[in-house]
Amino acid sequence: MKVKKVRIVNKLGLHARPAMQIVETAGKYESDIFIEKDGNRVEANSILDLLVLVAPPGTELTIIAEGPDEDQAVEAIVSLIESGFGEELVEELGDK
Amino acid sequence: MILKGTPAIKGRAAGKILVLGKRKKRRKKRLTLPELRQEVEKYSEYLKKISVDVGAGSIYRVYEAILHDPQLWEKVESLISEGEKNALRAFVRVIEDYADELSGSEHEKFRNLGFELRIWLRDFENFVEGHHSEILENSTGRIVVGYELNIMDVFRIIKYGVSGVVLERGSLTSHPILMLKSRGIPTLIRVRDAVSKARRYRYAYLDAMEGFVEFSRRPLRIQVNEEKKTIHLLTNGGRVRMADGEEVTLQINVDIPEELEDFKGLGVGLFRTEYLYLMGVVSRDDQEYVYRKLSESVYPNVLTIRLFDLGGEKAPLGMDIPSHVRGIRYLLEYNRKLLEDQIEAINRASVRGNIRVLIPMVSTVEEVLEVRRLLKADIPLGIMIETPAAALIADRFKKFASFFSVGTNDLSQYVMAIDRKVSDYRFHPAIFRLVWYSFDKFRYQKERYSVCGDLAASHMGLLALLSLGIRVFSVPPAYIPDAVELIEKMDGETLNRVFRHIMVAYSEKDVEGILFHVLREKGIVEGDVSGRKVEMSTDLYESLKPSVEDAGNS
Repeated sequence: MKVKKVRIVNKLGLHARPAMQIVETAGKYESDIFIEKDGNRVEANSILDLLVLVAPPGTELTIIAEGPDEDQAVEAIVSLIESGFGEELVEELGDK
Repeated sequence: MILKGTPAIKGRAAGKILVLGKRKKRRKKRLTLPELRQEVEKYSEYLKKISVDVGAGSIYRVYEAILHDPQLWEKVESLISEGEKNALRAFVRVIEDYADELSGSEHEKFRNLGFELRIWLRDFENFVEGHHSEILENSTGRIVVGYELNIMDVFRIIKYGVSGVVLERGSLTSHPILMLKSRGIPTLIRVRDAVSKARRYRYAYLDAMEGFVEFSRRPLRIQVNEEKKTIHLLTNGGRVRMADGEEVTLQINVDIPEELEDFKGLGVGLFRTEYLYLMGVVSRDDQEYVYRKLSESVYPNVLTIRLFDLGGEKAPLGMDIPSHVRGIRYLLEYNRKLLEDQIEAINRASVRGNIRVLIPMVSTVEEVLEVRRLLKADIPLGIMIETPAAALIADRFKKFASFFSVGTNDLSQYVMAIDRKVSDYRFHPAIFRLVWYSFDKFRYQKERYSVCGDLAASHMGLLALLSLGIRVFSVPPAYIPDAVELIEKMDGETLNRVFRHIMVAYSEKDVEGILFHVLREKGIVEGDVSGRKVEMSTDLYESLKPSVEDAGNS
């Protein structure tokens, strides 16, 4: 099992399009992938569950994967979130 | 190729054509699980086609992810195994649960996501019922051409920034058109064969000033002037003076909370909450949040919240109720819970002291007493004058209601005994006599009596209503600049002249004739938001001359 923490950096947070990108990315891997926020764990293949996690910018998420390609899967999701899904980033998160 | 039509909302626009297909009659559907899956695939195909057409790939991918969400289907299946026989209803319930959860979030962006999910869900339901909207995110800047519009179309037109609308049918007073009017989106109605013609072209130039639309295969090189009207910032609560110094108060009609942005300084004479209902804002908390926010942004001016006016043609969610059961009748007889929740939300939201409540479709004193009982004692309660019954005994309501607002469209409909979707009788003398009769009992309390109906949002209508003595009007934001212009040019003597003519008029044409005549005299015929031009019927006017002169001398 592979686990890694990551922070939401884009302005809109884990909104519809970012959640869709996570679902699409997760679909490329064989491993079971989960995303956790404050102890709530959802499967990364469910856009609706991801949305109701409610993750505005600054939220810390834990990415968990289990399976043959778990390392690559976690890395892919983490870098997607870190890149801000190609959206506008929050300027200075540290101040908030 | 040029087609003529009736301008419903003035303005000009040019852009690519988006044709809306024919609508089937709405039916309630029952689906088995395999049928539902099939419908989902069809809907997905349809979304794909449209989004690819307009280049909205990522929005399509979002819907695609929702439609094939494994958790969603797991929940749908478990509802079915628990005994739900209609798979469509299970699907709707699961998505509504998700939407509820999002709407309960403390983060505004996620709350909005809840609303969007509901709007999308309605679209899906419409599709399954053979009643779909083709207006998508990338319809921005397009000219929509269709038979007629439903409320969801309008919502999408506003949301996605469609630049103009051309319809084969449509009426100046239908709700979709009124909603578009508040946004000033150029609209031409009653354009024959518009849909079949538009299919053969790609671009359109819409002139809803002169009343025509031009279709072409190439972009039309006509410059569209972005005549963004400068809004008079009325810092004194919307008070405008006539040429002789008499004061008139202007307020605005609001459908969607965002509309308020540009109109700080004006009171809201009518906030139509039906659209909140359509967007799924029905829980006490959600409503309280919206009302509180609005009341803050309007403060220190008034926010007049009209209770849900559902039923009749505003029953788009498949409610099966008789057409006369509308407004307060619907709330009291069919949906008391909705009424109680709304009033409780208003009670809680009323902290600034600027909220007022308006009851739609009142015809009896008992209806007012019922609402009064639920509403906090310090919140002023008013009634809509929309039924001839309320108009005739308006003075009897004075004891129970503190203000009165005329809804001209419904009132004309019920006075003329004709469906507003079929025809507009906006200037029939009977309507003005009735309004005058009811207003006359308020001659010394003019501030208690206003008109929020569509008639006040056209030069001819506003002039006629001013002539009756009414001095408070609530109009769509887009009409405010024109209203100010007209009011500033009017004076008591001119208005008396108009009044005397209206009181002796034989027909609609006579009323239109005198109004048109006076507006031309003052140099302000242009600017009727409805764009309706009326040629005075000279024959009729001539034949009336003796009585008209009579009126002038009396």
